[in-house]
Amino acid sequence: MIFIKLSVGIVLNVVAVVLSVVSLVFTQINRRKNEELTLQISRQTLEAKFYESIFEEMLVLKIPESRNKICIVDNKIAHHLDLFDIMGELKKKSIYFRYRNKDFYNSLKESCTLLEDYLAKVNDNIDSGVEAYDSLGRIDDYIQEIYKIIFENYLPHQ
Amino acid sequence: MSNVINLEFDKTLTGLAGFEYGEKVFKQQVGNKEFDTIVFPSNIELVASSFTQGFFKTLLEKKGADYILNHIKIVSKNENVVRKVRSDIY
Repeated sequence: MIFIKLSVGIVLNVVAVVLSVVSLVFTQINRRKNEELTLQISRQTLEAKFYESIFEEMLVLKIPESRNKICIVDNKIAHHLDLFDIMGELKKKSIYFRYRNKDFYNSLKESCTLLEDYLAKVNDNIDSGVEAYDSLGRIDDYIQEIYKIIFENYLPHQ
Repeated sequence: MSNVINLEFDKTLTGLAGFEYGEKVFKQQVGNKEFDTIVFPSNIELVASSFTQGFFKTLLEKKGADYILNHIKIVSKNENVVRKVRSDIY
């Protein structure tokens, strides 16, 4: 009888120790997960700040406003200097990503260069009003591509 | 004494663009000549950063942007060209 009571006592002690160890392991795992989550959130917050400081004004104000100024005068594209300048500025401002996310930097730089180059030469390649109207469409396509590249890279970080 | 390079382009052109084109123009019209002034013709109204970076590629690699901005004068009748070319040297 005493032997059975002793055995039950030992088993209970062993179970208690095992439960304590399991609990400790789970606590550690949880703590590590929380630390990783906090670190991830901090990184995302920092990244979001960089995105905002680099792109917010460009995407919300500068690009749409400069695009709105562009019109056709005497079958040529006119008032495109602002958008032309902004493309160069956007490339320059994005240099941070050359060191942080090279693929994104390269595709953004390429798209900005396409539009900037297009605007530089646009009136050398237009001979009629129809071509001028087509050019407005091309400009919009280039702008859409730039927005797409930026948002596709930005949204996964949200 | 100033060494001036007067760039020459087709008179009908109003814009310059393209990294490779910039490199080609530098090789053809500047090459190994010493210079401290680059003059863009008056028909050129817009110069894309791709052209500027191709044109100054060798100098940027050898001497850096600060040297170019402090020692080489960019001249054009279009103020926008001067401002834009200088801002694209980096």
